[in-house]
Parts: sequence; C-alpha cells; structure tokens
Amino acid sequence: MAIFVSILLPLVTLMATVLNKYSNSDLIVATNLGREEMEKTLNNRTFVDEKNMVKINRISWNISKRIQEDNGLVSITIEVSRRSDDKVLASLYTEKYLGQK
Amino acid sequence: MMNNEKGSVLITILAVFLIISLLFGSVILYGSWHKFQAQKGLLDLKASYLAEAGVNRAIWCLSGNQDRDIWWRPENYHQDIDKADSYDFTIYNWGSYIAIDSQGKSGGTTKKVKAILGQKPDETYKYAINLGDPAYPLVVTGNSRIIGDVRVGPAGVMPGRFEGEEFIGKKLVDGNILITKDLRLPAYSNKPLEEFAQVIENQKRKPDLTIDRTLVIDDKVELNYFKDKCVQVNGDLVFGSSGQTVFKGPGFVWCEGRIEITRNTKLEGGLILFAKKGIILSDDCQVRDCLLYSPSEIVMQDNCRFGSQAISDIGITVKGHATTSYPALLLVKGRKEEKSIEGSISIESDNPVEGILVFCGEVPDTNSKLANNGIVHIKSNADFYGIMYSSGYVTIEGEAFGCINTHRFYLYKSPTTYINWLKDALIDRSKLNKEMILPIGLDNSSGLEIVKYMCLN
Repeated sequence: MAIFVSILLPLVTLMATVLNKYSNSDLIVATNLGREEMEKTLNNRTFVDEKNMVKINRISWNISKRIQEDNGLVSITIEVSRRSDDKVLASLYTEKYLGQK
Repeated sequence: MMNNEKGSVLITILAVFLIISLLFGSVILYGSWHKFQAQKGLLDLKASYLAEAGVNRAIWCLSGNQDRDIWWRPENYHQDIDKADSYDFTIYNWGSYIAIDSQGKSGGTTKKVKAILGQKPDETYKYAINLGDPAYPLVVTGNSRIIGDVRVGPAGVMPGRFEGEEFIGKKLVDGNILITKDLRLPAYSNKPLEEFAQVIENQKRKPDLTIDRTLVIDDKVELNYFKDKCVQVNGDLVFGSSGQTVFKGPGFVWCEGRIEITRNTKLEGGLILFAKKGIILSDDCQVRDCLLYSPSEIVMQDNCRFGSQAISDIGITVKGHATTSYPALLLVKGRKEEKSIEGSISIESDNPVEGILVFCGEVPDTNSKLANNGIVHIKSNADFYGIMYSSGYVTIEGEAFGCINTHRFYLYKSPTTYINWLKDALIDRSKLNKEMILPIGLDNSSGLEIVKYMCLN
C-alpha cells in the first residue's frame, strides 16, 4: 500500500497530466483561439489577411487569417498553429455575405 | 503454515497488478475521452461555421449572383471546402418568406441551421400613410391624429365634418404631405404563396403517419410526435394537454378537419400546420417560429401568444386579449367571388398586435357597404404596432404605431360609406423603432435580410 501511495499514484497522475498537456489542451487552446479570431472578424468586419502571434502560458501561437472576396461574398479561413512546430491544429472556415454593392 | 503464507503473497501480487492495470486503463480511457471531447468540440465548431457559410452563400446567390435570382429554389446545393469539410443547403418557400436549410459537415459531424429570409423595407415604408388610390382626398375628422409623413394623391389631405362634428385635432398631419400623381402601392406577387401551396401538396403525398380519426394530443402523447415527420390527420386535431407542453419541429401536419391549439400548449421550432377547416388558438397557448396555413378562418383568442406566420384564404381574427409579437405575420390572400372578394383581418378591441399585417386580395373598387370583406380592421381600443399592407381597404378606429399602406381607407356609418376618411384614429409612424422584415412578394427594391435564425441540432 505504501508503494502504491508513494510511487504509483504520483506516477499515474504525472502520466495523465503529460498526456493531457501535449494532446488535448493544445487542441482546446487552438480551438478557442480560432473561435475568438473568427468572431472578432465577423463582428468587427475586419476582412483583411492577417498573421498574429499570441502567447498563452509561455507557449507561442500563430493565428493566420486568409480572406477571399467575390462580389460581396467573403470567405474567411482561420488557421491556428503552435509556433514551435508550425503544425495547424485548428482550421475554421466560413462565408459571410456583406450585401449588395 | 508456510504454504498458506506463499498463497497470500501471490494474491497480494495479483491484487497489486490488478490495481495497476485498472489505473493504467483509467488513465488511457481518461486521456482518450478528453481527446475525443476536444476533437468533438473542434468538429462541432467547424460544422457550425460551415452551416453558417451555407446560409450566406444561399443569400448571395438569391441576391442575383452566379446567374441566380430571388426565385432560385435548389433542392440540394453542395459545396466542398476540403476533403473532410463541406456544406449543403436547400432553399424553399416558407409561407410568405424564404427558408434556407443548411447543414455543415466536418469529419462526420453535422450541424443544421434554418434561416428565414424576408426583404428589408425600402423608402416607401418610411411614411405613416401610403395611399394607393389617387382619386380621393384623405379626409381627417373627429379627434384623429396623424404623426409622420403621408403620401397621397392630388386631392391632398383635408378636414371633414362627420355627422355635424368638425375635425377637433390641432393639425391635419404632424409631418410632411407628399402629393403625387404617380400614387401606387407596391405590387404584390402571389408567386411565393403559390409555390408554397405546391410545397404543401408535395408533403401531403408522402405522409410518415396517417390517422383516420380525430387526434387529441394529451399528456400521454410523446413530445416528439411531429418532429421530422409528415403526419396526416383525416379528422380534427386538438392540442389539449394539461401541462405546459412544448411540441417542437421541424415537422409537417396536414389536417383534413380543424386544428385547435389550447390549454397552455407551446409549439415551436419550425412546425408547419395545415388545416382545411380552420385553426383556433386559445387558452394561453403559445406559437412561435411555426407556420399555420388554412383556406378557412384562423382565430386567435383567450390570451394566446403568437409569434409566427398565419396565412388564411378568407380571414384572421384576433380577439379575447390575444397578443402577437414580431416576427408575427398575419396574411390573408382573399378568395375571389363573382363580383367581390371574401377575406378580412380583424383586430378586436383590447388586443395588442405587433408584427406585419397583409391583405393581398384583388378588391374591386366600390362605394357601397363592404360587408367586412377586403378590409383590415383595427377596432377601437385595439393597438397595432408594425407594418400594414392592404390591397383593399383599411379601417382604423384604434391606435396604429407604424406604417399603413392601403389602396383606400374605409369608414361606414349607416347608410353612408366614407372612402378615405379617418375618424378618431391615431396613426404614429415615429413610435415604430423596431426594424421589421417584409415578406417576399411585395415589390421592394431592398435586399434580403434574415428574419429568424434557428440552430436545429
């Protein structure tokens, strides 16, 4: 019992934290950053290409926004990646009709 | 003794292994579940934005792009964004509005939304009164008050003497009077309603459930009875559960008899109810985001609350402290008789009505008594807040806060018919601050606008 409490339990907790840290929490942060950027773009109507960097808990994130326009219909693509490996973790796409020109 | 001790060590080792295995298993399950949740969160969000993209592309196409126009009705438009992401949408007539059902798909996750579209009111609807017939002056009598600009024919606006009494108000019109020879109301096209009637006929041909008797919806009936189904009832249909029961759509009900919605029943979420012999709403029921359609009369009474579309061929009556709120649309098509037209909208005393009232039948010009046909009638002590359109006549005895578009006003005091007379009426355009979206079909230069946006899952 002493071995279990003193070695195994901390080991298991550490494993769970490590697993969580390097898989799920990254995805959750990337999703939230993407959603935030998309809502900001739609609400403020900032339909221009942009690349931003943000730092959350000492980790740097790249947020890139690509805009295409076709006669009032704007296509918005938001991609979020960790700066260290540049792998896109969350990619969001939507379209917004701005009205007749 | 020794043997017994060895046995207990083995059991202890096995127990420790079992606990370790369980712990590792839990860790793996916990990790997988969290990963699944995180991925699901992302896919749900992607699918929602894709569904929204479908609605926007549909509006873009309906606004005249890609060689399409407002009458474009695709059964399924598909757009791939990349290998795992796509959206589909369908456009159809939703009563007098347009509906877009859009679904976004991302990695096996689907999100469905429904958007109801109408048209933004153009400059015509900024007036307090728009008259359609230039032949008669607008005659103001009694204690009538008109606040806002009016558009009338060359005969202008004048005070009138009614049964010996002069006009006692301060000003004929508290606003500008635009006199024009080119007086006309926006034309109304029946095309959306005709196409919608066809949609209803098509639905009727493929019922999921047919009931050959009167159906009473009581407490025993499950709430999803109509959801995603087409139900045909060959008798009457009565919603009469005792609790505050909520029935949600989307769904379609075709009823050969009459539909009664009573006793606190709530209907919402895109249900379409069609009843051949009329629809009655009463007893504190609530109907919102639905569509009621009947060739017979629709009656709203007894504290019912209505925030949907009601379409009737011959008449809609609001009485008994019933209330409507925007985006309520009460529309009467009018049924052509040999020399006249049958159909009216009547707002009885003490009923506040908010929304859009449309009477769109072709009413022949007459100077005789109309027998309550071809009229939108706001009775004394009734309040109307919104936009009114009548291709026939309008009688206002109560208060109207908004914009009145009518071919003519009508007042009858036996034995005389008074055309374009307003007596003791209040029409105040300045009080209508809410932007209301008009149904499709009214000749309107403005673009499309979303009336209602619903997430269906």
